[in-house]
Amino acid sequence: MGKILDLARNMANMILTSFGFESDITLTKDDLTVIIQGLALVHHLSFDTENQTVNSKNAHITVSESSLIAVNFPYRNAKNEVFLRGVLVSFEDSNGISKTYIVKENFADETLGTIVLNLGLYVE
Amino acid sequence: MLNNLIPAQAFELIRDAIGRVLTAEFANQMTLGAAIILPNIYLERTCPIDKEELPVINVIYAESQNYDENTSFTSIFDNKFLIEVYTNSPTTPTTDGDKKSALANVKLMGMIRAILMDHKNLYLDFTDKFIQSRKVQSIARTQPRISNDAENTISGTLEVHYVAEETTETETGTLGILFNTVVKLENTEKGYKFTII
Repeated sequence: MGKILDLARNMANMILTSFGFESDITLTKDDLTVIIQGLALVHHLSFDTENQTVNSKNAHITVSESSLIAVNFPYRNAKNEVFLRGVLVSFEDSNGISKTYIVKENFADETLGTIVLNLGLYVE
Repeated sequence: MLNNLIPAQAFELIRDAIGRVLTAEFANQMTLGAAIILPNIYLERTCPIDKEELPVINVIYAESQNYDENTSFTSIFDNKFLIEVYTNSPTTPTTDGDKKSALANVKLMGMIRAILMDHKNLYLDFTDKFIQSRKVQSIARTQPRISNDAENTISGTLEVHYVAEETTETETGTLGILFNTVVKLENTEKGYKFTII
């Protein structure tokens, strides 16, 4: 493995987990609940239809595969592909208010070992 | 010179009446036990809609085409109105949010069609029968252009047409007494909104 690629992977993992911008993120799948560190972002999104604009919300997190491996969280399916759709995700916002989301889409960067998870609102 | 104030035109009266009738009928449907979230109904809203306001129905005047039978004083217009429907939904343990939002959107559009096409509402809430006919031209879901909306927003549009006589005379479109409830059009910070008094 190239040293620079290895360095980039380590840097990506560090930025996501301990660089100072990380949040505590709770992941729940079936009966398994773990807490990892990653980037958690919620911001405005203009839902653009052919009609009026709806001011909506975008929520997504970015985590490293290393974090998931460290807590034994099953993030790959039987075909060894990254698949986290349906996993419940919760984290606190700037005011300490925790909301729960569900993973709608997962985008894995298998070069750096990072995963972006697009989230949808979830209520019990 | 005209020696009278120009009254509201038929297409203005009809647009407002569509909103009133939908407001009264949806309130009544809730009373009857309809399994929906009561929509907020707006008139000609162009201010962006906030996710916390959904479901929202927005009644918009689109266009009038000179249809037929021009006389010195009157003409028959085919008036087109757009009724936009916006819904959203979170995911729950039993239903995906995107599916639930889409089902709610289609449900509301179907109810709007049923309300407007019911024979009781042919003349909306007018006693003057200046409306000659009406039809729902189309019902269309707009496709989301983005997938990363946490709220699962869905929109759809009904295109409805009302053929009515347009006149320069002082046609005021007297309100009928078709409903037990009274609907008020009030000016809110988000624009004109229909509410039940």
